[in-house]
Amino acid sequence: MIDSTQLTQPDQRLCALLGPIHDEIRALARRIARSDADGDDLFHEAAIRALQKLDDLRDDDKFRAWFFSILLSVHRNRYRKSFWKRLVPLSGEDHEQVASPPAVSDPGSAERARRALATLPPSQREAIVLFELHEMSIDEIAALQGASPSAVKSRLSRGRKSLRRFYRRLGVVPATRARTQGSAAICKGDLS
Amino acid sequence: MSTDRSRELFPWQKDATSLRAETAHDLPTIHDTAAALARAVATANHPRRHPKEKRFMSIIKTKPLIAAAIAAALLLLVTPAAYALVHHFILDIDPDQPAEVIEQNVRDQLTAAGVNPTSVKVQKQDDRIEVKIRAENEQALPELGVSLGSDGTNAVQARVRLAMDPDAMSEDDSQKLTALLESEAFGELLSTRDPEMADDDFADAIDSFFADHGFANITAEVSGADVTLSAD
Repeated sequence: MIDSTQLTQPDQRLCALLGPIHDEIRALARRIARSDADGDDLFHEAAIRALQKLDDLRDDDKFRAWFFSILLSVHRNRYRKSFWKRLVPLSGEDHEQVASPPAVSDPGSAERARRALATLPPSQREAIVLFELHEMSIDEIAALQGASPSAVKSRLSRGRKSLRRFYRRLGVVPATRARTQGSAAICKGDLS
Repeated sequence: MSTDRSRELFPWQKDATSLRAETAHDLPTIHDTAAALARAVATANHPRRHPKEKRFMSIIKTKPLIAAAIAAALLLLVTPAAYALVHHFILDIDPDQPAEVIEQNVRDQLTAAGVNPTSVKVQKQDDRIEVKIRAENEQALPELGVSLGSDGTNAVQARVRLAMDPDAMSEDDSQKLTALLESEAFGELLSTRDPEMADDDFADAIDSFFADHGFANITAEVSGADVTLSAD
């Protein structure tokens, strides 16, 4: 338990605002990052950025969208600065950074999802994660990404196409069927 | 374009479900976050996990001596999921030298750094120098910085990776595509991108470029200076 006397007033305000969405946004950071450790690091950087800009937030009711936007901004900035970091390791050296999974989870399956997502540019990865894993609407994602709804639709379509390609390379989707079905299947999200 | 969520049909649903469960497991608490914030405020020094990366970026930023537009295109033919080692490398280019001398210098620098490019081509036109470096395996992919020897302003870099199944394209089409990637028109497209243009819009422009040249199956993904081309 943190000693509240260690926190400044802005810290306390941030923690109070963050509390209700803490787990959701922590999980989002892990999902768009390459590993849980990277996700936790991303979250911390976003939290510190938020603390620095907290005076700019006039309406506490808008905190959730405000913090999400900061997280996505930090995510993209980190990505731009480190082209090499998004490459997927073959040796699995990052596996030890992944927290021990719950019994309902298949660690190989989750790692495959990470590797699939890691092949996407950050804006597509964010769109896919927010839409598919966080069940946000197109308009919500557009607001968070500072993009138009049509741009988000394009990102989802491109992202799904790339995911299909990833799974096809793994042999999950038969190449002949995937090629003959073409983009129609992709748009429907049916990659199986 | 449909954006029907269709989760029950999405083939990676099982993997996504596992990822959702795993990333929600063992999350640090709000108290952990509060403690981390308190430590960060106390030290006023957020620790960075990648100091080498910062140093590398600093090197690039402290090299403002850019004399001409540079389009450095790395064309890679990679096998599925073969993403592995990438290393950093800064090319020194003297823009006052003739194209053939720059070309040899670039080749020598890359060779000395252990990068064995399939081809290096340099074209000079007015105030623009275009350097195209092509390699055919992932190990030969450096992250390039460019250092030029005299004053200037406009530098453009693009890293182009061609990610495709080796058997997804006939040899004839592969040769045509390679020629197209090395064409002046493609270099022009890369180096004249409006800085305000969004990545997705630029990807659409690249898709159109390839469709206009008979490759409607090419799809571009753009993230900043990185362009990845895939063929269905």
